[in-house]
Amino acid sequence: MKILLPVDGSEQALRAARHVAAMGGDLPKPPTVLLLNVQPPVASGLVRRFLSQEALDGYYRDEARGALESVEAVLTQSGVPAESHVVVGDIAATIAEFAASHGCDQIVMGTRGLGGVKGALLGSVATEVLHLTDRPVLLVK
Amino acid sequence: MHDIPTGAAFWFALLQIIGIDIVLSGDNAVVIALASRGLPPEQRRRAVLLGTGAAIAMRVMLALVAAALMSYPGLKLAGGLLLLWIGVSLLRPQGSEGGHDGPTSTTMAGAVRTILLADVAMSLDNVVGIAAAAKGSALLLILGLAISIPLIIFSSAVLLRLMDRYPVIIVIGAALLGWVAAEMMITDGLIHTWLQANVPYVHWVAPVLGALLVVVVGKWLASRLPAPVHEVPLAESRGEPIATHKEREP
Repeated sequence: MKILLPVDGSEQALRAARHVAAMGGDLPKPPTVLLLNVQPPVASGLVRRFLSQEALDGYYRDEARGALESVEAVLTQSGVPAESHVVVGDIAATIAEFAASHGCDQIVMGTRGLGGVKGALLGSVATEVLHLTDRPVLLVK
Repeated sequence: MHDIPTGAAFWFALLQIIGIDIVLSGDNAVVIALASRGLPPEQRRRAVLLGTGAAIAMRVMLALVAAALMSYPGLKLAGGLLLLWIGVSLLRPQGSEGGHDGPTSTTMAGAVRTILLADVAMSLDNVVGIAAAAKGSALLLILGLAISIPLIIFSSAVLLRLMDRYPVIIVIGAALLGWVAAEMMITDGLIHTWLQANVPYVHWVAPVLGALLVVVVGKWLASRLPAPVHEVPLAESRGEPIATHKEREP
């Protein structure tokens, strides 16, 4: 079983990770967990003419590190193997696309993460992912 | 030239300048932050200060020149068209890859050079926008820059995050540019008299149309472009790997 766990450093994402860790313990064979942190692109075309890809990637890696580390710790503690990925793009679309291209059986994510006012009720990202993906989605409150 | 704004119009124009400056300075903030990333912390602070100081000086000078040029007939029209385009491009999805292949500069001089070069190229949109919103008032222009630039320097990280999280800020900024562009275009000497005589309420109708035009066209273009996706390689050379825990797989 291959689980996609999108994380953004929020408390909700951490709770989703704990759920996956608990779920992983119950399964006969530990699931493969893909951690995905999506970074919104910061550089317009003009900016990119002045910066190296290396500098941009370094920035995204630093931004992603915090979100990934806490979740990695939760999962490794429970003996569930996890593989981290950082992708730059539109958040919901990237999650859906990543689940498809990596053949994930399920997406587990928090109902809402760091998204703002728009996502106050049901996370806007979660809602959008539901619309975009054909995989089962498990929302953790 | 416009009538120099007073009273409520003055404050409205000042807010416009600050708003425009904030949404259009995101790019500069990114370059300043990223170009100095490779430097040790102490040098980084100096590179940021040098870069932003130069940016302020350049913008005040260029904006004054632009504001003076705007009194020639036809130039307001051209400037307005340029601003409409700048507003539309603000709404286009940002690319996620395609930075040049060159190495990241690790020297102070290299970082400052990158910041300055980028500033020259990227303050043009800013300058035209501010000159338009200032409506010929040098006081407004300098005041607006004096307020917004420190705001940008000292809170660029916060601003970038806010814009990521609340994309509606960008839409408001783009609408503002459309508004200001139309406001400027209708006062151009070539068409001003004709518009006054033939189009009722042109001072309200045109800015609203300008704002709508920018948002609708920008959104439409954005929806036609595929969102770019780029995976960041995690196998970095320095620091502990946050990369993969594959090896722990049983």
